[in-house]
Amino acid sequence: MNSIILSAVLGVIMMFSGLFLKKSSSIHVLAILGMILLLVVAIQDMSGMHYFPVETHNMLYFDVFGLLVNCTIFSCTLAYFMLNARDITSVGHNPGEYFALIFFVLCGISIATSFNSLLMLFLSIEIISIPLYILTGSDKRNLKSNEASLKYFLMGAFSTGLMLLGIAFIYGATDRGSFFLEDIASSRSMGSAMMTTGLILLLCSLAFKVSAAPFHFWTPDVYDGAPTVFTSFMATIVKAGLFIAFIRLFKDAFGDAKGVWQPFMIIITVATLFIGNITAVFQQSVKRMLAYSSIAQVGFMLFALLSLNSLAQEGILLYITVYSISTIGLFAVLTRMKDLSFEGFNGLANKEPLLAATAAIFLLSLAGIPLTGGFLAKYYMIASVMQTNHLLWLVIFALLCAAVSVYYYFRVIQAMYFKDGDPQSPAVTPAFKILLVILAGAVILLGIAPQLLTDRLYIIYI
Amino acid sequence: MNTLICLVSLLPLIGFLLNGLFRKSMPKALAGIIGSGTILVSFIITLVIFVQVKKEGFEPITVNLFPFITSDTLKIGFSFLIDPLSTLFMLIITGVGFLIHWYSTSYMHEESAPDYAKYFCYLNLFVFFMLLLVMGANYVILFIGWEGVGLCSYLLIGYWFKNLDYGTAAKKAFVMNRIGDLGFLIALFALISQFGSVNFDEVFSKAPTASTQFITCVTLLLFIGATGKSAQIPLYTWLPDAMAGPTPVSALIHAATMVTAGIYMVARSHVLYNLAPFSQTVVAVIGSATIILAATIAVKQNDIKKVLAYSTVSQLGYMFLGLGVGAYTEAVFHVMTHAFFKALLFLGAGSVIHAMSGEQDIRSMGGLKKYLPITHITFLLGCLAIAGIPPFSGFFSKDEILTAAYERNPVYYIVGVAGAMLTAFYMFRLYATTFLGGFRGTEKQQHHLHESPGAMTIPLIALAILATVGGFLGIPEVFAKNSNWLGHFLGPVLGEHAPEASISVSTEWMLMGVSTVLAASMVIYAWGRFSKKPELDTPRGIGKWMADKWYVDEIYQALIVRPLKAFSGFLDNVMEKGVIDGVVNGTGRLVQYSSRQLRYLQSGQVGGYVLLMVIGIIALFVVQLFLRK
Amino acid sequence: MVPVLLIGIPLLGGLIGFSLKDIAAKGWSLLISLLVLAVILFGISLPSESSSLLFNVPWMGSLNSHFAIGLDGTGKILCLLTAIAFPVIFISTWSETYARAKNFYSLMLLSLTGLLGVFLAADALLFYFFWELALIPVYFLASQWGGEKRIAATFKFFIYTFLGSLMMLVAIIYIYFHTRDHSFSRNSFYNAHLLIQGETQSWLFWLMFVAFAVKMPIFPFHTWQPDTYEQAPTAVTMVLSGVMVKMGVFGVLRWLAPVLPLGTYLWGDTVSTLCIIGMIYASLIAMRQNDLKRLVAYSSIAHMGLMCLAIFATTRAGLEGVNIQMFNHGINIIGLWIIVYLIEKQFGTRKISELGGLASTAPVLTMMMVVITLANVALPLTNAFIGEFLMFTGIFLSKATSYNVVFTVTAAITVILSAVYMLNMIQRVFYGETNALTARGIDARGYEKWILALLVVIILAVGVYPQPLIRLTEDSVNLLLSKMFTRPT
Repeated sequence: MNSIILSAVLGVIMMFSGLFLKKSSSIHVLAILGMILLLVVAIQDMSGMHYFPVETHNMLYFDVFGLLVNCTIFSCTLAYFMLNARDITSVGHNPGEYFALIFFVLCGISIATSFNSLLMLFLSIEIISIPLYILTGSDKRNLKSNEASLKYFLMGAFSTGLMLLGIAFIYGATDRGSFFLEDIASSRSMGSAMMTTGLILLLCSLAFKVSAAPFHFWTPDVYDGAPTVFTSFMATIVKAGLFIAFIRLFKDAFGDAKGVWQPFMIIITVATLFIGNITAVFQQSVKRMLAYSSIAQVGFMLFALLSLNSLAQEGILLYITVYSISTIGLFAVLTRMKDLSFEGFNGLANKEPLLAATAAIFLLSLAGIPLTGGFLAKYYMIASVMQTNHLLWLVIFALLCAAVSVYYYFRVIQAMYFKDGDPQSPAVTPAFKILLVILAGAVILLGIAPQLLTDRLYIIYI
Repeated sequence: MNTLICLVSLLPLIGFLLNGLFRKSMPKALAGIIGSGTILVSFIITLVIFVQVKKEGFEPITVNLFPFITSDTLKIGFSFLIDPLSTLFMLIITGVGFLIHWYSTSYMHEESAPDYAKYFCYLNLFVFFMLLLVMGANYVILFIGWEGVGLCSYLLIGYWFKNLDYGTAAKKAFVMNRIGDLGFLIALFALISQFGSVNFDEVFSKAPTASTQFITCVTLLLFIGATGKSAQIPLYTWLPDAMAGPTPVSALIHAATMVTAGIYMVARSHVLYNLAPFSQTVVAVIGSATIILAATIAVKQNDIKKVLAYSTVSQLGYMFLGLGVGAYTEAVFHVMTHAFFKALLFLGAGSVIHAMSGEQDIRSMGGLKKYLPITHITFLLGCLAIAGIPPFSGFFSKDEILTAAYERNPVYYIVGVAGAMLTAFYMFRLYATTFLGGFRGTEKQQHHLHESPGAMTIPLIALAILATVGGFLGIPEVFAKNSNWLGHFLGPVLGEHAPEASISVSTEWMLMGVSTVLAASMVIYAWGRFSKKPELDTPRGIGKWMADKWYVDEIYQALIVRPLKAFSGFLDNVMEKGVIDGVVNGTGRLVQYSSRQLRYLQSGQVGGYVLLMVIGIIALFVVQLFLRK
Repeated sequence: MVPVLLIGIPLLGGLIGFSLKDIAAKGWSLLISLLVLAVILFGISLPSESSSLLFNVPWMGSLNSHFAIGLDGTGKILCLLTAIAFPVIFISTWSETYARAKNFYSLMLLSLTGLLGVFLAADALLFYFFWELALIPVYFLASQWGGEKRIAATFKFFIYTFLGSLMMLVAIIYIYFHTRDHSFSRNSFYNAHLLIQGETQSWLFWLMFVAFAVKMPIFPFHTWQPDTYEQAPTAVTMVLSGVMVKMGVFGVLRWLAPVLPLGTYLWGDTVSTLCIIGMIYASLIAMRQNDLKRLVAYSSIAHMGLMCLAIFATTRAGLEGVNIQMFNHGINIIGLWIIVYLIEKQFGTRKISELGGLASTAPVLTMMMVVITLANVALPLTNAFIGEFLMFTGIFLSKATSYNVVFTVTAAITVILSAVYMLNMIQRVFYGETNALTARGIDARGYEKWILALLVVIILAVGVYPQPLIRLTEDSVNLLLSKMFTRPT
């Protein structure tokens, strides 16, 4: 509860910060402080210090997993703020609002990680989505940005419609008309046409939100159009939050009816892996490539939904963390580059060795090379599926796709290290470098000792 | 005793190391002394050993140096076996070897100091390996020597490496030997799989337990090895080319010792061959075929060394004929006598070439009699010996083989005699064309003609004596009872061979007479014909075929080498670059292509996207419907 | 303790190396590699049951994977090879000056770490980690300091190997779930086969074998190799061909044959056939190569094929042969590379057709080359003869196949072919008259001479008295034989 309320409050504060804080630098300092506070509170929440005893009538249900996800997401956001604060403020005239919107999104996310009723789910999804529409279009003078925002909004509306419809069906299908997940899970009509229809609709709309094929089409355009800073935010933190919601719903509500929806999930997974990876191969702009790679990565995350076991839970936690860190780091480097095409990176290793090295680590992690968290994240996903579903062909297919992904991730490495060129990149502050190193260190650390994170799931809190 | 035995093989190795490591700073004289000195010493030691060995009631000695390869039950020791057979070969190798080393000190004198040292270090290495070959107490050590001498022959044939043809000849020799060695190697594995050991004593003692087919296979495989090393059909073609090496090398390696390794190996394994009659027949047939083929070719050669080379091949044929008909002692006897007179002939040829300042074509020689008296006499003695004129050594050994052949099957005898006639013919064609008549070379050559120095002539004389009297070591029983010393000496190893057992003394006299008379008549004919007017014009008709060696090399080229080259070309260009790599790169391109196609889904039109999404949803519903059924 | 040092020293050395000056890096890496050599020699001197050869701490608790490393027979042989190879490589390429040298040498040390780790790992997941750790630095080395077509060639190599290792990962996870105690430890893996069906083993086998087959490489997975060897800087090629390809053989010996004995047995004949095809195929292609590097590359493919073949023979002789042949092949091929390197450094070309007559200008180099070549064609009293003799014996005695004789004979044909292409090369490069290019050639100089001499000494020493080396492998071979299947007699 702490994080939900505080994030909302912080959002409001940031909104008005513009009035009494003139200097944008002070605004992002404020934002960072707020973020730290939020993180602290979230951690305390785990250790049983609930500052806002609100009776949620079982609409929300807080468990270690959700809270832990909050913490990781908040820490990622903190890192994101620290790396990109200046870029955020430089997008438009009123930086305060951007931070405000981001905090609102975080609020939505913390609901998404703890909802226990479809209403709350809907609410959280909307709270997350609407600010994003704005953020996407925040670069007013840029037509691409506006177009992207509009596209996003239109298709978002469409998926919202689907979701509402789905919720309605399910509500009708439950025994005594209920939105609560446990009621749905226990309803006798599980597997009935009505329930299944609702389920499929929900599935599609959530698939849209996490940009799984064939509902991913908005992703490349929106990510490409949005200001790079916000792309990075959307592609990582937001996606992570939404994905947790996705899992939560299917685990608690439909966990026992796997048989019904797993075929669709498999189809979606295969499609996502295939389209995501294959399409990324041809891209000429690193930014767009990363958009597709974010789709491809979702393909792996979906494994957790196929096998809703403990390995999957640990795995997805690790996955969203590592994926977010790596992608945020990469985008941070990307925002420093003038030319976002692969050629733009030529010879970066000679000009900015540290930038290149960290970027290389992030890329290796995304490609899933051992000693980076990315490998273990993928490992968990595969293992979990092999443990419960025995879908060996799917695993092998996924790994083939992973091999393809190596192709486009390594194109950047090749450009940075093996090709000569004079990349246009403004000097970066030492603080920025240190942060990058810390992030890279975190990626490696999680690649060697994942238990640092995953074991948190099993600590009993008061 | 053991230390002595080790020393015999060790000394040449030491010589090799000394000459090899310090070749840069080694003065010629010293190199020569080290080179031939080590061999001399080991010859003397061998004599000491020999004295021990020929005592009555001598038991073969096995010296185990160290375990070479031990794997589970398979135990291969690095060990030597000293018995009459190996001792005899050791004597030949070190004795003849020493003479040839000595000869070389003078023959190779034009070489620069480092090359001179290199030459002797190779030569010593060869002697080392040759000794390893004959002293080894098991097939693996034998094989080590076997390939080792092949290596040395490779190095020495290619000694003048600047000339690429020599290099090619060396390579050909090595590869041809390798083909034979393959047979040998597989025979080894077979022996291991059957007897779990490669030690001679174990193998021979267990041999009777094995099936005849198995023994036949093994013996044939071993024989393939022998055909490679001892230049028999079909692998003989390397030996004539091997004449590219310095002449003393041809004398030592390609006449006296290395090429007889095959005979040694077969004689050593006679226990097995006795158990495989079929293999014996094969050996005999191949042997006699080689006699004729090589002899016919030799008839038309004009390169002095080529003639001798082909005569070597055909003489080796005799030895195999002997082995094939079970006359092991006789074969070994012929090895010995052949070592004497063939080494003599080669060194003589060397002396001639030396005098002719490098000229090898006999057509531009002639009348050398008066310029090179010693060489001429010794050479003549050698010719008489090889032609089988009594009482020269060749006569005894060859006729014992022929007699034995007659026992087994008269056809062999006839072939043998025909070979003998051809031998007599071409040898005296060679002799007459070279030494008789008038000189046909250039003025310059004539002016340069001179008898070779002592270091070359003394070995010639020594060998000439041996070639003349060497035969008395194995006088057939028909002349005098128990006079066949060699037979008694080798008896314990190879088993006594008693001709009179089957055929009457009169028959044996008759056979001997026939071959001798025919050979002698050929000698006289050739002498008479070529001393007056040597054949200088290029032969025609069948003669051309013979001169061109029956085109065997060309046939090999066409049947094996070229197809292989073509095939490898196909693999490299089509299979490798096209098919396999094509598939690999193809997959990469496929991904690229599909990526380019999939991109078109990303139209940028919201309508299109929504449509696709709707299609997706519908698809899911359809799937759902199917699942329900 | 020993294994920890073996991994720790080069790892730290490498990481520190990144922070050094370019000039210092060369000496530093040589020092580190010599330290490693000292440690491994000490390790070999210890009795094989000594506890200081093992190290085991829990690592990733939730995955039940342990950081378990240990030094046993096969490991000793290969660690020794690796530890000898690296100093030799550093010294022989001493005169080379690389751009960003410190990165180069540090990456070399990291790949050394990975290699040693692979040979030491006693835990499947750890093995996989090191497997990749060895690959990454080499990839960077090859495509940063390589020839002009380096990026494409090495990337092909990388994708190829990576794909293979991913398949192996699937198999590892699958087996992991079928171990009694859900653990990656070597013992659990060695007992897992009791719980895995025959047909399951037979497809698991391929998942794993692909990874190793690509590394070795086995026909038809070999096409990455010639290109990579050609493009990579020679020092890296030495690592690749001298040590890295052994990872494939080692993988089969350590993680495939004993883990999936039934699968190994079922596919024995198929794999053996592939090996033999590859051997002859590679030898024939080698006969046509005009680039020294490609020639050696193809000859290496032929030799590796023989080793793989000998493994599947499942006999003591064969396995002992493989073990020591891995060592011998490493030594010999590094020797060949050094000479190729010296030639290229002098004349700026590797084209056989452009060379010739080196024997007259560089007698010492020629002598060394001849000896190493003879070792490469397995002439008696050279190291390779011991290995090949044992392997062929093993194949001939094999009870695991009914085609043992056929296999032996066909495989042995390469004994001839290798002689053909190697001697061809010798003749065309070293014999004959010098040409305009090679006339001004010079002989191998001081340390180059000595390093080659060292290799020659090793070649002959092992060739004359191989017994110690063979005995070193006994424990591993016994273990293998106790696990692997043969045809019921």
